[in-house]
Amino acid sequence: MADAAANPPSSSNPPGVAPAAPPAALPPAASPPTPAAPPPPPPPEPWVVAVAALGAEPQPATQDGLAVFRVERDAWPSVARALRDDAALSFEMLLDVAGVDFPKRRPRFEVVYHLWSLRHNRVARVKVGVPEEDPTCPSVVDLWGTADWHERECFDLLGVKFTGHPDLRRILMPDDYPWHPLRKDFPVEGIDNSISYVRAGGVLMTRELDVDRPAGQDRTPVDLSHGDPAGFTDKAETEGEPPKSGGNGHP
Amino acid sequence: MSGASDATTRPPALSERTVTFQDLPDRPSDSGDLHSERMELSMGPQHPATHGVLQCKLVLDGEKIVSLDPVVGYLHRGKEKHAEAMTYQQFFTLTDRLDYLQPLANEVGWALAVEKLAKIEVPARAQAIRTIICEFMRLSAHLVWAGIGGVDTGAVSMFMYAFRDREALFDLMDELTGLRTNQEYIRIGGVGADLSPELVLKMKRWVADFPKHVDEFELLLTGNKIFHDRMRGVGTITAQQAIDLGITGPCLRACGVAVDLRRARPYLIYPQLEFDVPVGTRGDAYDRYLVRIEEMRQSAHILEQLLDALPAGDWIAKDWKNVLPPKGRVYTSMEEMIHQFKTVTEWCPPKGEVYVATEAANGELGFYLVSAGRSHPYRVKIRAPSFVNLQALRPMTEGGYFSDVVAVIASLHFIMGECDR
Amino acid sequence: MGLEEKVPDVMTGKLADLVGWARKNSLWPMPLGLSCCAIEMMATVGPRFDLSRFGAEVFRFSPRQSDVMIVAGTLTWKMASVARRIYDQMPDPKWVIAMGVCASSGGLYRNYAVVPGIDRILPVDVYTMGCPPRPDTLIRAVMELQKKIEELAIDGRRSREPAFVQ
Repeated sequence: MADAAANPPSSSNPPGVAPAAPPAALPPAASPPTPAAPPPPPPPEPWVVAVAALGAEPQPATQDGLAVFRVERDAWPSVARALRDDAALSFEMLLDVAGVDFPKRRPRFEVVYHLWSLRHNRVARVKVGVPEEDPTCPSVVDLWGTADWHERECFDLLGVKFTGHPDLRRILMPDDYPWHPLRKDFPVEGIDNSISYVRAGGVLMTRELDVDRPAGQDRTPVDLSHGDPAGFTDKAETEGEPPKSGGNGHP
Repeated sequence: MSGASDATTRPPALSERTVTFQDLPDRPSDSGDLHSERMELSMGPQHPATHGVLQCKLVLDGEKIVSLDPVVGYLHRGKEKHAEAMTYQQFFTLTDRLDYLQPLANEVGWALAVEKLAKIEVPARAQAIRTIICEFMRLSAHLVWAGIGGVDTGAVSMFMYAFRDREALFDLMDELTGLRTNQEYIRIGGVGADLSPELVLKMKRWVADFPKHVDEFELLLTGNKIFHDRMRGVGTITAQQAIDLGITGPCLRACGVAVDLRRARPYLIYPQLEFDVPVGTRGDAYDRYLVRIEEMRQSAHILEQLLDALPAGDWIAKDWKNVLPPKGRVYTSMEEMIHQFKTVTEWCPPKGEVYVATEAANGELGFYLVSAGRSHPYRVKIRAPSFVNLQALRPMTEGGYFSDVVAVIASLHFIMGECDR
Repeated sequence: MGLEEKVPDVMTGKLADLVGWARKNSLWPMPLGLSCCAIEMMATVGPRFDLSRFGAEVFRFSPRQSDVMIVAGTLTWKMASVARRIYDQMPDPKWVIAMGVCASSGGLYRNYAVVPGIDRILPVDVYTMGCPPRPDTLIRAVMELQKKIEELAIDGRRSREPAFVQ
């Protein structure tokens, strides 16, 4: 934006392109200035150290500044209990359980827990990896009762089964729905959407397939990876590829 | 409460005169020659008092509820999946329709999440306007709760009073945004249009009158013996149960837990504002009612402060690489047109993930946003307060009377659009 | 209804007019309030817009006692069988108003969960546009429906041509 202010676009230049700067006089040969060393990262807080000691691996913080931990699936019940009961940690409330699907990663699913300590007023994020071959994760219903519906939803939409959950059944989709819609290989338009309705004896007034839309458009799954074979990795960024234009991605 | 013989002759207080099921002698299912069975009843999903499409599968023993199983998902519209096929700006249309009583407040939550992810600075005036909008939306949601809560418990005239106020609020929204509801007014980086001085004056006038209207609501309901008997002692939940169930918002504060995200994890310009957070004591339906009524008064107080001291400045960040430029410039200046084009089609925030929560009318509305550095979000998880609060329906009603279910549902106040997403 | 066979045509015409007038001015809606449009439907019954001026004040949530089903909101496939069952329970003559774009065509949701328009499962008489439609639009829809009701023949024959209201 500075160049737009300093050099108002003249008629000879295409708009938005700053005119070429005149060559500056070269400075005398000298060693390039060394950049100032970045400030050392602050030491982790004692409670983060305490959580790490339980077996949770601290992850680098993201844009929201929350403390993030990664926990092995088998260690999760004991770590969760300590997170809730330990006085220095005291995460009394489980805010949210979110499942995320990374089809190109191993493990494929990531169950993300957000915990809130009311006593110390902090929020922490804990991630548990769940592989595709054995999509189970230990349930924390006996620790936080609110996990009941969150885990049911994760099972419903992603297919992650929570062992130890008293009543793991679908919650948002109909009970006999055969797919897990939030998985990346499930198309946004769905597959055979009226299946539950028709099974319940419902009457469709018109044909299920629109006559004025091409036959493939209703049923062909849409690839939501936007043609990126690398999937969710750093490869695209490090190789300097420009971001793909998602456009108005209306399916 | 049991009315056991008490030596003193002091008559029991108003709240103690309510007879609960514990006072009645226990009747076994098969008592003598009277055969009785448990009845299964499906309440909903189409029902006048279930606040949307909620199905309660009840097992009743006479009038007592043996078990209640809420079935949700009848309004599951696949927003989280749809988000993966939309750009960040387009998703505002879906956030509006989450808690549809307070559409712009949901939008503010989403905007805050995206701005945190992309590290976009929002100017002070835009933040102030957003705070004004959030409080208006809180009032909008609480007004519908008051009206419908009245209808559910039999006080139909409450509905008319509440909607009269809501129509006036809609007029203000109409003038500001062009629509009565589902306005889609918030943008990434600010808001869609400025608040004109005339509109500020109209808002001030309405806000000055509003506490008198809350007095009218209280005249209708708070001292009303019928309303009191229907709500006092009904749907009680302890603070420990509430925290365990993840309940937030007025339902948690009615249990005595003084937690409000506007104070605990502040956002927008709430730290500069002076307001009280109403907290109940008993965690029953009546306390939830009192907490919300007082929240309405506090919202009016917040609005007074905001409308008096609105900072001057931009209503949207002037960061054209990230924010849509004003339309007037887009149609006349080539540079802004190019920025508009690129922002709409190619704008990608950096990779990362954020969890940002705001205090919606029903509790903590959180957006967990995972970005892969593309123009569409990789994953959006909406932490909906109604979804979590609805889990409290079971402990609040099981063991109680069937006729109290409606009062409990009215006091819990969940919105299925938010619950099912 | 064998009456119209015994009675001369001019009397049947007058009788049909009378019945049509009575029916259109005493519509008892069955609100299938599903989502956001339901709130605007409530506002239509509210003090400013007042649908009861048109005789449609009595919002009967029981399908057995209603004439017109106002589908206000997004219909999902999970809810579809419920909506159809409620429609089947309504006695004849019955009409359906699709309130809002979600009911008319699926609205802004083109995904796995939403029925793309209630006319997949129900016959619709009036479509309204808007997200949500203003209460004025719903009142206009009720007025269009009233026009259709007047044309209803006394033995139930009617035009299936839907009306569109913006």
